[in-house]
Formats: sequence, C-alpha cells, structure tokens
Amino acid sequence: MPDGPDGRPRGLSHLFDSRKDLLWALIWSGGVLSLWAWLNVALNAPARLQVQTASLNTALGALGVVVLSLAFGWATALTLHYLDRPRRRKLYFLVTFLLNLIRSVPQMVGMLMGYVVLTALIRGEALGAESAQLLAASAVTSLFVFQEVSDLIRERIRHYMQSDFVNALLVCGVREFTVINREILRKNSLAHIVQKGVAVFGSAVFLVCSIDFIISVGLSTDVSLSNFPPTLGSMLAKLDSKQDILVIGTVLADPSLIPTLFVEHVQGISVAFLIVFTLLCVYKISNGLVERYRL
Amino acid sequence: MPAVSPVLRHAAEHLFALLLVGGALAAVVVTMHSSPPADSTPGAIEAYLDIDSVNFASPLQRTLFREAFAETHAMSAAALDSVLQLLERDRLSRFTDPEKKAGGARERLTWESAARLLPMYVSFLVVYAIVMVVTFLAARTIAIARFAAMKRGRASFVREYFRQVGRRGPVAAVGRIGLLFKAILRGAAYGVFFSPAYVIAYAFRTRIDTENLLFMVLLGVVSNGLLINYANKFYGLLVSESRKGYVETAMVKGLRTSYRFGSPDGLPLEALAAPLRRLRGHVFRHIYLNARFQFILSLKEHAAFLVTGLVIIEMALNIKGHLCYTLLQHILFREYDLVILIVFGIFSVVKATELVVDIWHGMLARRYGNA
Repeated sequence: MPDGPDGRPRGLSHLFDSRKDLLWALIWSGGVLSLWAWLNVALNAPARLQVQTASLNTALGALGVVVLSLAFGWATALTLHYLDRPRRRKLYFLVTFLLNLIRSVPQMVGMLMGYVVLTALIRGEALGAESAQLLAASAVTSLFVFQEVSDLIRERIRHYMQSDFVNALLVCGVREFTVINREILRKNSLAHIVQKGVAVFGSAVFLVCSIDFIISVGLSTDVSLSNFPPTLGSMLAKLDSKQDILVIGTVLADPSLIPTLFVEHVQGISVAFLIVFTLLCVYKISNGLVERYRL
Repeated sequence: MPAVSPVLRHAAEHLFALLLVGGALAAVVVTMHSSPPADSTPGAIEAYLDIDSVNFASPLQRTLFREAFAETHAMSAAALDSVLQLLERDRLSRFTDPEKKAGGARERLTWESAARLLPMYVSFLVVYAIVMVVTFLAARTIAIARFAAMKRGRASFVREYFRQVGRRGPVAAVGRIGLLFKAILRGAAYGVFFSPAYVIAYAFRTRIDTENLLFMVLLGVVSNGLLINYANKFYGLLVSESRKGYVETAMVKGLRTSYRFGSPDGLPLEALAAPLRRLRGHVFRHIYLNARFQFILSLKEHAAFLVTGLVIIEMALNIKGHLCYTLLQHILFREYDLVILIVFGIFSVVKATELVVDIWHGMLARRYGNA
C-alpha cells in the first residue's frame, strides 16, 4: 500500500500505527459478530438465548459499574477538592481515611459481603425486578472500583489548578465549580476520563463474572444467589459449561479432538471466549487510547 | 513544632485503621454472641407443623390439606398458598440448614475454631508473599523488555507480517510463516494472561493436580490479568519518565542510549532480571530508578487486587482446607462471626503491605532527597 503525502503509511498499516483503540474496537466487534454467527449454526436455540442473555446482562452490569463509578468518582473528587482547605482540614482527613479503608478491602471480599446483603434484600422481596438487581449489583461493584476515577479526577484538578489560565478564569469571576467541570474536566480531561471508563469497564467485566462464578459454584443451598440475573460468570459455572471447559485439557493432550471444541462444546467454550476476548480487547483499547492521546 | 515525617504519619494511619476496624468488628462479634439464637422456623406455620396426621412432604396430602382447609377456614387462596410455600421451605431447610440437621449445629468463634484457621491463614500469607514477589519481578522484566523493544522501534508481529506481504521468494515466505507463528504464540500468551483463574484451572483440571500450592502460585501470577496489568503500569511509568527533560540532558552529556540487548553500548541481558547491574553510564538506569520510585506506590493497589485473585482461585476451585474456601463455607452456613475473623485477617494483610510499601517508599524518598 503506498504511503500518504506526509510519508506516513495509509490504510490498515496507519490504523496499526495511530488508532489502535479503534482497531481493537473493530477486532472486538468482528470477533463477537463471528461468534454470534457461529452460535446460530452450532448451538441450539435455548442455549443460544441463554448465552445472549448472559452476555447482555454482563455488558449492562459492567456499563452500570462504569456510570456509577464515574458519578461516585466525580462526587468524591470534588468533595475532597473543596475539603482540602486549611479550615476544613479535619474533615478532609476523615474522608480520606474512610476512603483509604475502602481501598484496603480486596474487591472480591467486599463484593461478596455486598452480595450477602443483596441476597437478604432479594429474599425479603425488597429487590424484585431483574433491572433493580442488576443496578444494585453494579452499585456494589462500583463501591470498590470508583476510587480509580476519583484519583484521576483529583490529579487532573490538581494539575490544572496550578496553571495560569485557571487563575485567570477565577479572577474574571468564573465560579470554581464551572472552571473545574467545564474547563478542566470536559475540555481538557475528556480523553483521560474516557480511557479510565474503558479500563473500569474491563475491571467490571472481570469482577462481575468472577463473583457470579464463585457464588454459583460455592453457594448452592438455600442461601444461593442464583436468583440474580444470569451473567457470563454464572453461565460458566453451570455443569455443562464447566464440562466444556474441562475438555480443553483432553484436547491439549490429543489435538485431533480440537474440532470437537467448536461443535460439541460450543456453550462453555464460547462463554469463556467471550470473557477472555473482551478483557483482552478492552485492555488493548485502553492502551490504544493512552498511546493516541499520550495520556 | 517539627513536622511529622510522612512515613510516621502513614504508619500511624494504617495502625489506627487496623485498630478501628478490628475494634468495630470485635464489637459486632460480641453483640452476635450475646444475643440469643433466632428461631429459624417462622411463627406463622408453627401451628400447622403440629398437625401429625398430614405429611407435608407428600404432594397428595398437601393438596388434600389445602382443599380441606379452604372449605373450613376463611382464608384467601393467596394466603393459603403462601402458608404452604412456607411449610415447603421449612421442610427443605431440614435438609439444607446445618442447624436443623442432626449434629449440624453452627460453628461459633472460639479459641479452638480460631486455632483451626491459623494454619490456613499462614498458608494464605505464604502464597500471597510468593505471588507478590514473583509478580513484581516478572512485571519488571516484561516492562523493561517491552520498553527496550519500543525504543528500538520494533513493530508488532502482525504489522511486520503485513509489511512483508509484498515481498516474494522462499526466504520471505519462511519469514512470514515465522512471524505468524510468533503472533499466534503471543496471542496464546495473552489468552492465558487475561483468563480468569477458574477458566485456566478448569481447562487443566483433567490433566494435572490443580489443588497444590505450586499451581496456586502459578495461577496467581499468570491469570486474572494481574501480571499484564502490573507490567503495563511499570511500562507506562518508564515511557513517561523517558519523555522528561533530564533524559535529554543525560543524552547530551554522553550517556549510552542504545537499547539493543547484548551490544557494547546497549543494555546487558542481565538488565531484564537485575536492572541496576552493569547499567552505569546508560540513560536507562536513571529512567528505571525514577519509574521504580513511582511504581512502588502502586504496589498498594496491587495488594488488594492480588488478594482478590487469590480469593477467586481458592473459592472457584473449591480447594478444601484453604482460607477462602473456608470463608465461603462460613458464609454459606451463616457463621458470620468466623466470616468476620477471616475478613479482618485478609484486610490486615493488605494494610500490612501498605505499611511496608510506605516505609520502603519513604526510605527511597529520603535517599533521593524527595522527602
């Protein structure tokens, strides 16, 4: 393929060079579409519907985590910014201390405790609708993820607060709240926030799938949390999916069985593929954004 | 009044956090122990359970009871259904609730039960420490290799393959096959790195013993995206340091800048394992030291994530006799006092790591004059 007028390569090569985020978003879309097409051929309709529902729930749950983390992170960062003044020092230390406490709780342990509470709410019929359960689960997950966002926003505010243009705006009478939200965050930090949102989406997919897998495997009597909307994690924990994954070991020892993975063990393999492929692509998209905007 | 050193302030904060959380959880445990155990049979069905002539396990007798009761009592069909539902739930709980089973009373927090947890906790600490050290070293090596490759301007295998598509001849064809093979290998490695631990563990369960400590350590290092994210963070810091002004100054002063491994003016191969050895006179030494100084603080975030990974591994694999499997069992049987003890133990691990990291960072800051 010929190079462009500026000497840089065009087309696919250019995409490899400068728009890796877009390239990987395309790869992810292509991969998921191909899988969906194959599932239409190789998987029966009820199982296919289960995979689709689980994928959708996982995506919605992870999106919920992103939105809530952005909201919590923004609110926390602004609260800390306004408390970080000599007269409010004690309150600032108290809030920081509490946030550090949450930070020290491993996500999975915190989420497990949160899910125990959610189970009690579901059993008490306080959380009936599937959408409400998804949202509540997202809120629990975001409690242990949002500090990544608040750290980023705090760092951006600190960085720009030292610059001349912020001082000039403040002297001109523009309110600090407006300067932070419009000038610093929207106009000068959008790429950072989008990149963080993508990274949080990856973490959320991983955490949601993992907690649902653990719960579905481990808590199987009347405290079962299997009443939660199905996700890729709980789908993978089902006996038939687990058997599909177990076959991989046999296939590695006898490669002639590889074709059976794509015909006889489609459900478990496709669910595992969706999780791993999504995590890989999200990582690559996030890194692509970092490279493209030199974040 | 002299300013308190940051190290002391952080240490005091961590210790206070441990005391506060420990005290609060201890208060919860004491409250749980002092309150009488709740009767798990709902009061609404106690009267019906006393009717000896009806066997509620039999669907026929349940239906007969429902019809006879509806004839003789003024109760709505919905209310009657919910009573029957409670009766069925109570019957099932006799098979599943440990308190209702013979000899299945709930375990409570005692010195004996705490002592039983101790070996599991020690084993958890050992695995945690090994995974932490191995991951740090491996992430550092991957980050340095990737940084050096980036500085040498090496393109990805796929991109290199597309570049060579136009070339003809057997040598070019062999080269392309080699590049494809390398790309597939790298793809497979990425597949392993991004797989959640349970996917890898179940994939290998039929071939190897997945319940030994060595496999757990290996899984802890390579799975759950831990290593790759760790390495990526270090790589990002190396890149951002390499863009700073002092690097250009160092280059002007004549420090070595080649990133070819093994060449006289480049990086020695040992730099991948021990970056400070034989690096005098190379600009990378300064980039590395500054990047490491910042990276150390991110170990605090990674401590919590690493524990998350280990929890996933132990719980998902249902490895009996391990701390997190036991935690799951105690949640299952609602033995919350023991749950609290284990959670506090795990929280303490993270806090202790944070304390160590803050002390290490403080010592380095003092050495570099940044304190």
